[in-house]
Amino acid sequence: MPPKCLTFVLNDPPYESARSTTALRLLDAAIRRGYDVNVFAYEGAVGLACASQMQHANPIHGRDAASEDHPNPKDWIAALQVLARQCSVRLDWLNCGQCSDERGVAEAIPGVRRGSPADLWAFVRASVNTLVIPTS
Amino acid sequence: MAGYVLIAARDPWDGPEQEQVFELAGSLAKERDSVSIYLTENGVLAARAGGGERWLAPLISRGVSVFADPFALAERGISDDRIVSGVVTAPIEHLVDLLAEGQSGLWF
Repeated sequence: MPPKCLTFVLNDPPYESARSTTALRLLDAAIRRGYDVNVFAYEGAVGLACASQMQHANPIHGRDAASEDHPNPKDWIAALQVLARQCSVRLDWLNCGQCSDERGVAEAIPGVRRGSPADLWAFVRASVNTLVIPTS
Repeated sequence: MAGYVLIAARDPWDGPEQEQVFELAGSLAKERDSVSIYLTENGVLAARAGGGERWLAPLISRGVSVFADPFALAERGISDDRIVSGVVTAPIEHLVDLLAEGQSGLWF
C-alpha cells in the first residue's frame, strides 16, 4: 500500500519568520512518520532552496565564516531530501516558476524543481490533505 | 464529517485580530464533532496559566481539544506545570497526524 501523501504550501522567505522553521519541522515530522511529502513554494519561499546561499563571517564578534557557521536553509532542505530517502518516502519540492523569476532565485539545489499552479493542483489531488502556511 | 485543526501561531495579545482563531474555533465547535487548536510559535503564549484562560477555558469546556507545541513552550520558558488547565502538550508529529487523518488545517 503506497504511503499517504501530504502537501504543504509555503510562502515565507528565508530568515524572516518563525513560520519557515515550523514548516521545516512539519516536513521533517511528516517524513519520519512515513508520509510522502509535496512542497509547493510560492513567493519568498522560493528562496528557501536557493543554491547560491552562502555563509559569512561575523566581524563584530570576531568570528570567521567557519566559526560563525551561519545556517543556510538550503542545507536543511538537502538534509530533508536525504531523510526522505532513508525513510523510503518521497519529498517532492517545487518552486513557483514565476515567483522564482521575479526574485532572481531560479537556481535551486538539486532535487528542487520549477513548477506552476497546475502542479500544485496535481499535488493537492494526490494528497490526503494540504496545509497552506500563509505569510502575515 | 471531517473536523478542523486551527493552527494558532501568533501572540493573542498582539491585537484583536489574533483572537479570531479562538472565535472561529468556538463557532465551528457548534457545527462539527472535532475541532482542535494547535498552539505553536507565539501562539503558545495563550497557553500560559493565569492569562490564557479567557480564550481557552470556554473552548475546552465546549469540547475543543487544545494542544500546545512543547518545542515552542520551551523556547519561551513556559513549563508544563504553568499552562492553562486542559491544554495538552503535543509534539508537532501530532499535528501531522491530525492532517493525515483528514482534519482541515487552517493556519492563523
